[in-house]
Amino acid sequence: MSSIELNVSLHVFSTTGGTHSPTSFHYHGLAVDISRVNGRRFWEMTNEQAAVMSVQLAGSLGSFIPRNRLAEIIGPDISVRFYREHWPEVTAAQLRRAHRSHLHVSVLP
Amino acid sequence: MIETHRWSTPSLAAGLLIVATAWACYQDLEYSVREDAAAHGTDLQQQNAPDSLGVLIERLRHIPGEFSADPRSDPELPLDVVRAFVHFGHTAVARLVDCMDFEDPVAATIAGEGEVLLGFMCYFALVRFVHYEPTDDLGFIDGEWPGYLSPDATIRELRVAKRTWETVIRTGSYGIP
Repeated sequence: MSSIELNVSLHVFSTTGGTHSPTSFHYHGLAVDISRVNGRRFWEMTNEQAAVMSVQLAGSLGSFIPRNRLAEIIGPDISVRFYREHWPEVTAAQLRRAHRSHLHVSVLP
Repeated sequence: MIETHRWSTPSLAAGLLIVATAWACYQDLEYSVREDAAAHGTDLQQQNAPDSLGVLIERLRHIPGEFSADPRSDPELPLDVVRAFVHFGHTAVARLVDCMDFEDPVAATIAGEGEVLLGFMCYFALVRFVHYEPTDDLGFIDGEWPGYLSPDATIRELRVAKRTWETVIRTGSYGIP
């Protein structure tokens, strides 16, 4: 991903390293997982705080990424993917719960 | 009075000596325990973990609130409970996965009526602080992964999820952000 300017401090827990599945966008430098905002971890936030933060952050990051390259944004209160069929609501809710600890943003090559 | 005074000075000195010696021994002991803890922190942590984690899991049973289709209104896990799980790290992860198939009903409900099982609460606590992302063949997040659970998870779904997470643990493919 290219460098972008945001007026917040973000901690990227995982980019190309880590322990992702072999097919993951992470290994191609096409995804980031953000676990802290201004030093505060998502798991330290209340549900409401994490929800608001994930949506605001998703909006900010998303605005820097060309629309035709956004692949997925998944976090505590957001679960969308582009250019593929939308997840059923039950699956989307499961993904939001499973991403309670971070915001996942991926782009297409 | 004079005799008393004559004897009290050595007694006081001896007393002080005993106190000083005892204090020094205590300091040595405390230091060695601290050193031991530093050198074998993980071991000590794991020794203390079973009881503490049992208490924490017991607390999951009593957390009030209602689950709905919208995770934003999920019951709030007390931060001290989450912090404690994070403190115990991988030991806590293993323990939470282990209780993922516990079938006892808990205080939290689905919309005030539906039963929620303790196994789901263990999962709920686990995903609060554990990072794992399964992907499909194209690299997208796999929405069909059997390790995901909903509050109305059946016993069968809990068991399948537990087995799936056991593989995640075995392969070490998760992180704690």
